[in-house]
Amino acid sequence: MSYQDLADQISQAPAAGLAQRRSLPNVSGIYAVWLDDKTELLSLGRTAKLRRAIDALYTKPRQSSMMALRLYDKYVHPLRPPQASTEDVNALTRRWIAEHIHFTYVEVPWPDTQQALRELLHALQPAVHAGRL
Amino acid sequence: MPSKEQFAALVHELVTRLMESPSLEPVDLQSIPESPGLYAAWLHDKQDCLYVSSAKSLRTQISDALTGDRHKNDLAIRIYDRYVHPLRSAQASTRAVNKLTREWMLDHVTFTCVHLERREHPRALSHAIRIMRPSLHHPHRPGRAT
Repeated sequence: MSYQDLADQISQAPAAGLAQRRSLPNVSGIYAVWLDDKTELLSLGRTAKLRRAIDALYTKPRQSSMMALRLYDKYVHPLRPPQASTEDVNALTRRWIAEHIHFTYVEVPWPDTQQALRELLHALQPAVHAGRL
Repeated sequence: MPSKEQFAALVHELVTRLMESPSLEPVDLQSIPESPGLYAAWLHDKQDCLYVSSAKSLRTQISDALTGDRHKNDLAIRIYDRYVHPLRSAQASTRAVNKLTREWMLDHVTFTCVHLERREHPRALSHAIRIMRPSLHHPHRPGRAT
């Protein structure tokens, strides 16, 4: 499969959300993180265990997840009450992610994921990926 | 293995040292020991105890906190949420806000620390938190920072 095929596949797959995460296979691959119903591609990642990576996307707090922190800084920050505690802001961020974040994925053998991710980042230009802060 | 009374006396002495020892200037990281132990973060010059935790390496843990990298550090995110959040601009990038958090910490936060073997950390930490009442800890789970 060419990288263009991979880009098409990950862009055209139906987006899944929080409810679907438990039925994911625990395989290696590339996953895409989308805002709402694929209105904007936010990030791409590679993983050896897809279910675990997607689970982390929805559950990890900002102090242990760069993705949660970026989503907080870009989208949730204006919504928080000024005096909210860290726990309250983490809960608000988690709710926002559950409501607005969807994902698609393609299975890729683990040794090929690094090159595939590089090519897909170049082709799809996600909005909040590490290099674009 | 110390008795319950011996352990309580040991912890009391440790907490006293943690509260009374002169605070370390954060820029002088070389003065922080690399050994395991407990550390406390203070607002300004020990005006208010913000946070108490344990570390496998005191120097590494305190250095990591002072990077301001909120996605890797519980103290940094708590300082951001309490003090830095009102100072940031709405459109600031994650990198810019981490930098602002780092600068705020360097200006306002000092540390004290005491050496303690790792096996003693859980009990000593929960005693220290109970006595020192750090203001950035979770109010409903005082023994845990997250």
